[in-house]
Amino acid sequence: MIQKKKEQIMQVIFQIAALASILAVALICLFLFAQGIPAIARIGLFDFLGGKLWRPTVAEPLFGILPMILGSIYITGGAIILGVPIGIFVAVFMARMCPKPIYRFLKPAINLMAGIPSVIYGFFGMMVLVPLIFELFGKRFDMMSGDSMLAASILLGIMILPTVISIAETNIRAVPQELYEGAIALGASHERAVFKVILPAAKSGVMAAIVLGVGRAIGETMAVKMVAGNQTMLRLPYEYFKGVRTLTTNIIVEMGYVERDSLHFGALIATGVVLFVFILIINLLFSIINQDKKSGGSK
Amino acid sequence: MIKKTLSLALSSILVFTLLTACGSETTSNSSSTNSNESNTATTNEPTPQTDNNETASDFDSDRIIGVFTREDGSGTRDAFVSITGVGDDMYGDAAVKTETNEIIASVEGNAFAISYVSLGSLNDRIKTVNIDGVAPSAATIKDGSYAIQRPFLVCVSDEKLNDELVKDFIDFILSAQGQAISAARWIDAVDNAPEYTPSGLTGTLKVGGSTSVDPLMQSLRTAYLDLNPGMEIEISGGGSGTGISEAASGVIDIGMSSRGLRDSEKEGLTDFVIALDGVAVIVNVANPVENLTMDIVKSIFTGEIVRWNQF
Amino acid sequence: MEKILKILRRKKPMDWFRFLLVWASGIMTIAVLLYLVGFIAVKGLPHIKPSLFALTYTPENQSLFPALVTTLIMVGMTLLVAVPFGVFTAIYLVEYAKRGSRLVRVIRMTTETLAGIPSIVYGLFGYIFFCDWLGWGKSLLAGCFTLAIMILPLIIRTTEESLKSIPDAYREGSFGLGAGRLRTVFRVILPSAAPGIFAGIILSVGRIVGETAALIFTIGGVIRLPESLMSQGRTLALHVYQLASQGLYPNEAYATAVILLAVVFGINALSGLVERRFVNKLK
Repeated sequence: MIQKKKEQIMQVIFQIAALASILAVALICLFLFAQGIPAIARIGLFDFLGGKLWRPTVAEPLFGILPMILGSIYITGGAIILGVPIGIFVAVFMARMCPKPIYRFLKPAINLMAGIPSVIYGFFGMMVLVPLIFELFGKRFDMMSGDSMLAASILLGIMILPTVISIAETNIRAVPQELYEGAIALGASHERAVFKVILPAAKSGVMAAIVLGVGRAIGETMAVKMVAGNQTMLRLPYEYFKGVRTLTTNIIVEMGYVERDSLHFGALIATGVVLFVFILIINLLFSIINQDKKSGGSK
Repeated sequence: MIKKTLSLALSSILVFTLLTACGSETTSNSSSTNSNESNTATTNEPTPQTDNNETASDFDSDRIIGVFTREDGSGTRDAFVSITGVGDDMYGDAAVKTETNEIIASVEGNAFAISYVSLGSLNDRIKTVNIDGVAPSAATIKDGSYAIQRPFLVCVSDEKLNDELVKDFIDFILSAQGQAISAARWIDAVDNAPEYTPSGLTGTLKVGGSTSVDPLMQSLRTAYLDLNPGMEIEISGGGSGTGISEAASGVIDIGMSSRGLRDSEKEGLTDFVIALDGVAVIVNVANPVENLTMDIVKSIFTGEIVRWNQF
Repeated sequence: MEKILKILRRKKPMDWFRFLLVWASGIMTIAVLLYLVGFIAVKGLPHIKPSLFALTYTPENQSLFPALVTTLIMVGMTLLVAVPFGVFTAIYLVEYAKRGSRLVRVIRMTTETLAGIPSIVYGLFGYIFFCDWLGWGKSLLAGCFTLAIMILPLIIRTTEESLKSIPDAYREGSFGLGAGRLRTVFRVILPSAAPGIFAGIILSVGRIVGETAALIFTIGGVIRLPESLMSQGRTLALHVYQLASQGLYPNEAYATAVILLAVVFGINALSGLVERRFVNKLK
């Protein structure tokens, strides 16, 4: 009897614990939206999302986060262009082409790369990447400083590598061996079999890796803040040698001096809300891709 | 076909990045050793003459001015833009840094940079520029001939005003001993300050806010704790706005601000001016510029002048 | 020999190109990692001196000791909050809930959402909710709860994986011997899954140690040994951030970064060790 009671009590406890993550998401949504939505309403949704100027402290303040949205997109795009191809090649290398002794060294190295804190990446970017870019391109492209979209993109490209590599590798490994053997039997070389048969077969998994990489790049804060220059100017995609501010850095740069409960404060929270919505969209994409993968696998 | 061109493009990117990565190791090594050498050179022989002769010829004045500024809301920025007349028209391309020392590090690392910092934060890693022929110093700020200056203040909520720990610490700050500390690197704000006698109180005070006031507060804390060993003072940063709002809400006992209180902030708060500070315009040590007029400073920070040879 | 020649003959120019591409990428990735670690190490190692570990921080010694202690406290407290919730959630999902039920789907969805949220958003939330709404102010407590929510999905996922990897035969055997569900979970399943859970916890430790954006608004910046859970503090990663962005003490910044890297190295080595033992055990 006592045993049964105990069982029931514990089941309830497990259930309550399981509700914690739901509660957490609910609280996060509730509190961010409760502070952010009124601010967006006061600024006006279109003035907020589409406004080109961010002038929080002037007499008639302007809170347009279009430059930051574009900044996030540019920097993430640059990181994807630099990081994803290399990441996928490394994943191919690790899954199908590399000798065992190298793999035994490479795998923990990639894990370590994933574990390095973003401040260390940011510090490295600040000390090495920013001066290097200024020295190489400063004169030619009339740069004001090395703090630029380029620096942030390269740094983020490095930072998303471990994410892309490990997920892509798992998915490339999961491709049935028969496909490879079939290709070899038909006379394909090893490389051709890997690139033309295995990689396409792992397509949805590789896509998932890219989407997660995008998530990581959009959400990165500290490293970007240390190398991106943080200007609130609206940039065009080719202005890669100028600085920019992203959604994440907008929050971190101005939180220190903001007046509590002012519209400025609300606008910063609202920036967080926009970022949150971005991430939700990316998550949705990810789960759609995963769904595809599952249904594709069962066929 | 498309795939082939795509893979070719990718490979060229790869090769490019490989090359720059290889280049990075060599160039950054050389540049770091260079900067080490120049660092030791400047610290070992601070004779300005040789330095100037050497660098003036090296300085490429056709380069873009690297403008660095503080973020919106910073007290230093507030003071700087209102006095120089830059106002709300801060140059949009100016790189934004969030701490005094970040600014100093950026100017130190970029030969074409210009920025501004609190007078108390100046050091020999960067060069101070005279404004309209006047060098920023205690004397020139006190007599008003150096124009870019602002008050440092602490603020206390009305409830905390009667707290004896808070009162005692503020008494100390405004005393002769406290003001002597203000005068050491900044400028004292109280004339004929009274002598302070240690109270021997015990307890903890929380102080927070402006990072510009922080170095002064650190020195004040050390001196105060020497006199009152039973006390403890915790100092946190966050900036003027945070200091003011947290003092008003009672999260901290004393807020530090490097700008005057806005009307919206004044309710329920009492403020005390504890020192005066100048805002110095700084450039890289390799920059031959010695003097700038207020107009040129304004033009640089509004983006009308973008190259070092345009004035 | 003949075999190798055969393979070589099979390769066309395009294949050589692919071969080079893949090798170059691998080498480049490792080169970047080695350069990064080497750069920090070369700049930092010579500046690690005993004064960096002095009991109290002064502007002269730039001691990282208080930050180290704060980091340990944060790790301990965050795990204390997050691990029970995470492990219990996973137990519920794997052992109790009907697979595919609506509740399970919702929990899984929220866990995935939590896993994707950037740390800066956690920082904002922690500031609004724990520091402000609950009135805790910037404190270790607020920071640790913020981090606990952040690592929750990681712990849930790894625990779930390792619970799932326990063969059903264990459960059937235990039930067959007359043990109840609870007893089965605690006496049979959890002990077998322990290494996997442990690996997840180590991963979480790694995240806690490296986190800055979520903490900068929630635990403040005071660098001294914390007196209580309500006092402010600065973890090692935050300390590196402060030192790095201030640029006042570059040598100490590098040295502190080396210590932080060493901690991360240690955590990684430990998790590798645990993983290997776990795999061996399953075999």
